[in-house]
Amino acid sequence: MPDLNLAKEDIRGFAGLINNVVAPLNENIKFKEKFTNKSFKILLNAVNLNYAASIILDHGILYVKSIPNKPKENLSKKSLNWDGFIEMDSQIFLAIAMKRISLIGVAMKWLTRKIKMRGILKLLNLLKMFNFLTKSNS
Amino acid sequence: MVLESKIFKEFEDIVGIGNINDGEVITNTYAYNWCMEIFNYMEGKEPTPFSPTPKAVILPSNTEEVQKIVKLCNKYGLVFKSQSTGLGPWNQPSTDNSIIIDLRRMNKIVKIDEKNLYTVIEPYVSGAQLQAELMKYNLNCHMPGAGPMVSPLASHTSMNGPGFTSPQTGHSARNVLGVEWVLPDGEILRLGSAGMKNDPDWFHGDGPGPSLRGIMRGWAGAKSGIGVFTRVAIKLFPYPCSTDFNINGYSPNYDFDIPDFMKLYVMDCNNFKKLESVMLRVEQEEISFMCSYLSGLAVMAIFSNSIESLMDKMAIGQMKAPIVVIIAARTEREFEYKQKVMDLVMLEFKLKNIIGNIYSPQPIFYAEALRSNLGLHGFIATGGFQSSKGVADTAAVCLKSTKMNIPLKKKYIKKGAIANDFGEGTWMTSYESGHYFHMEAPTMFDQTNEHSVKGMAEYMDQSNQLDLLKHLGAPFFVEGNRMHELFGPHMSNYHIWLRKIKKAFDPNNIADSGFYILPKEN
Amino acid sequence: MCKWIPQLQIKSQKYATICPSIDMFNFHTYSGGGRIIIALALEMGRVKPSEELMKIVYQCTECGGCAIACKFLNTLEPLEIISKLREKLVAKGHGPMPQQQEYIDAVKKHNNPYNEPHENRMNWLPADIKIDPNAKSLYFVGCTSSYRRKEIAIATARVLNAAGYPFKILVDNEYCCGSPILRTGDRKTFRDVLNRNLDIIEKEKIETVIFSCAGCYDTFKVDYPLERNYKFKIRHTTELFNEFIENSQLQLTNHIPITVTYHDPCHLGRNAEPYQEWNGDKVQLMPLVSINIPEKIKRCGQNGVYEVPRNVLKKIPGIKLVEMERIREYTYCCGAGGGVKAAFPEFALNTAKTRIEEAEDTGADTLISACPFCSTNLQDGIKEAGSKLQFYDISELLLKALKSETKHVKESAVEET
Repeated sequence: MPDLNLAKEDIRGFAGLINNVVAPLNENIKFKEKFTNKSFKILLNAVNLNYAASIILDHGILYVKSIPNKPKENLSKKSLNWDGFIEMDSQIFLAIAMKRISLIGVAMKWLTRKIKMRGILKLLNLLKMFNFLTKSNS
Repeated sequence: MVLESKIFKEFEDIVGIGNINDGEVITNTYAYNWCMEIFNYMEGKEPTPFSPTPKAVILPSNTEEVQKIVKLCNKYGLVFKSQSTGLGPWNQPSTDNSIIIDLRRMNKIVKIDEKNLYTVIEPYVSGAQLQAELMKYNLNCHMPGAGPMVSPLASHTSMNGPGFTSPQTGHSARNVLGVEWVLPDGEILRLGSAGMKNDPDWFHGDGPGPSLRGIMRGWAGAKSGIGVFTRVAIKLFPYPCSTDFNINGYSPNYDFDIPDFMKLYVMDCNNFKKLESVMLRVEQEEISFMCSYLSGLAVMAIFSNSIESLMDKMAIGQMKAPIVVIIAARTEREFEYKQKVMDLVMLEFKLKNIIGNIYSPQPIFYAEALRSNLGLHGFIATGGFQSSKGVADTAAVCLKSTKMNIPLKKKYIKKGAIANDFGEGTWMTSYESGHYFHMEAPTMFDQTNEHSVKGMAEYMDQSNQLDLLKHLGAPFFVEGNRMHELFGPHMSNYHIWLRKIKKAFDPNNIADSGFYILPKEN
Repeated sequence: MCKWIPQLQIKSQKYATICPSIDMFNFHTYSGGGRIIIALALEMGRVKPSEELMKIVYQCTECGGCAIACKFLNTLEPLEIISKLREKLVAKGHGPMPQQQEYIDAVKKHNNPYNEPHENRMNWLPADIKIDPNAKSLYFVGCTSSYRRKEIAIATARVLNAAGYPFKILVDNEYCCGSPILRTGDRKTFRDVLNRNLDIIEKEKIETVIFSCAGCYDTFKVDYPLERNYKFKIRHTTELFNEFIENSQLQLTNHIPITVTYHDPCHLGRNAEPYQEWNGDKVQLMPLVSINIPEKIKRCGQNGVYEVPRNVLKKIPGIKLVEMERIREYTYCCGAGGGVKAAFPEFALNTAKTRIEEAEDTGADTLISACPFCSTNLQDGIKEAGSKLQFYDISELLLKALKSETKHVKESAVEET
């Protein structure tokens, strides 16, 4: 498995899972080409698990950090200065990551508060990132 | 309960001291099996992993001893249940008044006829053992999907029999040649050319009278319900590629020198309609060693050796209708031809192979494919799985069944009774180059969690009802009296015929009918 | 799976199995999986402790083969369960077997399981072996080499001397490592032995402890840290021998024209992997499915000592090394461990004979290993089978290869007879 962070043991809980999922992207040439000049920070929190994942893109290089998600204030924009925030159950995350839920489905879950989002435009970057998981490296 | 000492002694005189045991430790061990908790619950019992406890377990070493044991069982009205490698609840006795005939000591590869392409084996030869010996002749056998550690004899004579290599090696039912069969009354019957008076041999399983292979096993096998099979001849096939099988490194992260002319294709067909066309097309071309539809999660699983190592394969999981094809060849010319055909198929259907582009599996995957070890990856998520339904029919019906199963499965996923595979958990393969197809729905559950066990059992029952309601073809897992009586009336009342067969061969019900059929209606 | 070597490693029908217990007794109960079921049945009250149960539980060498086979894909721990089952039975007064209790009592009385006087423990030591009382390395000889396989202790000491490697020995303060006690499930007595040994070694301010016995090595390396941490390093002699050769500390000039095959001791290979602390998180991805972040390392024998003994053998002039089919982490047990040699000698011997046959099938004329307990049982097996195979511990073969030690080889041979 490709290494994303040097201090892997510091990436706890759900953040560690996210780390494993997005790790292949740092070795994807097309991803690097597309995101080379981009930087953003997105916070991904699974309500049923510990440790939110702070996905940091820094000029094309991806990092993941784990943030204890209790108390709730730990995850505030004030504390972390994120550009986008998304919160859901881990099963919904899995469904999104594996494209088993359409955009309409995501919207419905958002309307019923099963997904909470802030900075939707920045969150679209997350979707674009996941798309690169299925793009060829050549 | 133990055997009366007089009866115990009579059995012991057959097999020798140390080869029969009626102590509680040994009999209780044999009472346990994987998935027994589900079957218990379905029968209205406590969902424990223990079946009825046999009175004794006996280990014969040859056919004559088996015959004597069976005759003794008839004499004392003791039900016998025969087993070899013993994987699965189908090995369990249905009554305490039983003796388990463990065929472990009958483990010879009797013959390998490389010219006529068959081998004769005893019950406790495992698939891997047989394949390892056959490779010395550049030959291969059909390995059941359950894995290389199970008995090919058991699969060919008594159990279903699809395999990952079915496109090339067929189905166990179709590969049976001569058989040596100890009938429930103790008579020995040899089928096909094995039963000829002069110069008997094993190469042929039929006639000239009515073929008894259908009676012997039919589609799904009798699981010991119609006697004991002590030898079987099975068809052999050319080994698909070079037999150099070099495993390096250490478990579990072995490395493997991938044979020269072997290639993997994993392609997303996006929808079932296209998947059906692609599978049929690939199979019509008769080029695949393996051609399976697996759900996205299942494809992730076959490339992983732990649940954790699944997580970096989300790209694969995104595929909606993935098809996994392996081509293998023994010469460069054959390999080039097969690749060209695959290239044309991919062009025709606008498919992209993710292997080598988005993902490349560890080389050990190829070794596992050759040794048919892939089915065991179903255990990595929850430690337990069972297939909730199955179909043996056309590709269209198999996929219809898959599709119909999704909402039903999601219902139980929502209850937290089974693991979330989005309802898609399926394995589908073709037999004999697309002649017909096999489909089953592996479902992950937790056998230590009562809620999960109950939910899984309910889901399996409802799945059977769905098969009937939606006319989803000939089911794969129909066994036991209750199931035959459920499906029979919808399928030409076959259960009545099955019962007649059971009654004719075993009127006293001495061969355990738990996973077969009772001689009398319930 | 527990009855077979890893499925992908099966190269023939004959050498496909990994469990000596079920190979001998045939009932499923005798396999790793069978003993897990016994443990479950005992917990559920379906079976009670009995003579039959005891025999079945103890007719297992605790070789760990079942665990290796199972863990290719699963996370079950058959060996752990068997060990805990024995501990539970002992704690409830139902074990160990009488013959095992005898040797435990001998350890308590004489500090060795052979019931030999403690004062005779150092009788193996030739007068001309150089011992350095100030050395920071300790050669822990072990009971079997001290009392039964003296040729191994002698050969090891001579090789260390030849390499100029300073070492000391504990003399009167060396006691049983506790392995034979631990394997029977008597954890209480084991703890007492462990604590005494560690107190002594720590008092000596030892930096490295060297073992020629795989059993002692594994016990110190894997089992001791579970009870009490220590700071010194653990080395097996084969690791040192390899270094000596690489660093030209040993001159291997005597030509030994033999074909050898190497038996991997279970306690030097697959079982000699320390437990690693894991402080990660169990993340419940969905109902019924949890994953460990980071992934827990499975002890599958991948960190055992396999290559260094082979390297040593390949460096000895004239030696041709051929491999058996069941090697490394999927080696077939010699048959002696887990208290079996004492309690079930016929089973131990039968297993050894199976291994001898496998060695013979390689075409080798000599069988080598790196454990005195394997040495004893395999040599017993050779004798019982009437085999023409020779047997050497790797230390003895190395000694033979050293020109400077030729005279001592003859001495050792005299001592053996």
